Amino acid sequence: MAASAANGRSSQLLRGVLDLCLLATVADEPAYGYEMTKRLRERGLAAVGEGSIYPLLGRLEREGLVETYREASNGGPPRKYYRASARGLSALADGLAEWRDARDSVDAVLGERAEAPA
Amino acid sequence: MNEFVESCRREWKRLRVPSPVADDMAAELAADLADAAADGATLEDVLGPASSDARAFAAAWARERGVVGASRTPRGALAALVAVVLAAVIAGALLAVGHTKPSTHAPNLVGLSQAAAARRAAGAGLTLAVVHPKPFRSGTLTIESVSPSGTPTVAYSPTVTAGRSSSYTIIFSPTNTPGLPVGRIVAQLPSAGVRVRRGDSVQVILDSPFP
Repeated sequence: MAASAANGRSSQLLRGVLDLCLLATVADEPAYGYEMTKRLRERGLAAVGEGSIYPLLGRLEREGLVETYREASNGGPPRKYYRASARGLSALADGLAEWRDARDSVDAVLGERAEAPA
Repeated sequence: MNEFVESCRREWKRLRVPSPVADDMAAELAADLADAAADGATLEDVLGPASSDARAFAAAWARERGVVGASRTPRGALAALVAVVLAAVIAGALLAVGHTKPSTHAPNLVGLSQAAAARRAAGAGLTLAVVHPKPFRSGTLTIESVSPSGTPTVAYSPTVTAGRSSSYTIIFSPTNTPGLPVGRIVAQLPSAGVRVRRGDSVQVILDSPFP
């Protein structure tokens, strides 16, 4: 399988759950946009930049799933921080359950192939 | 990177994103890009492929945030056109109704009492307007805003001058109307038999004793 195709699938998979990943990222500790990108990449989600998180953050903000505030940075302009709202935490819990169900179902199919003799 | 932010600003302005919101997004993006630059990261590192199309990126962000202003879309223009046509049709219908307002003929009110004249006028779909119930011994009475739909007939023996405008000047002689008891209509505008529209008023002058 070509590397580009694998990257494309990773990007598509991430696109479906990127909102959950962003909510999880700011569930416990607020973060600004670029900081979120770094946190996700540190955890192996290198494809996060391909979807650009800003439009998604805009939707989360519009839906009231995140709260925002500004805070001065060291020497730079004030940064806009995001943190999960109560509704956002509830949506994260629901989305996490859905993700686990979907993951288990996919594992049930792909896992058989992985265990089958070559 | 600043150029990218400015391109986004232009797109937000084009999309009529409210200025405070556009400022908020621009400030956020500029701060994050400055932070990324300090880390040695490029625009593409932060935004991925979106870094090559500022307009698309800005539009997607504004759309997801729900701040794209009302635009003159073809659908909106069509709705406006329909509204204009509808208004024109309604106005035309109203105008047509006005033109086709049922007409009638002014009844003869001269010689009647005011009450009887009012009843007869009402029967013809008209209203009665007493212009001057107590004429001067001599002088000039000007009737304003009377539709000049006919030459006035005056039984009071005055000299009548009908102007070309909607104003008539009636000059009374210092004599009572021969054969007419006091308190009767001595003149009317428009005169009897003139075609008028229902709802119009007939101006009448009452005979009354001179002071």
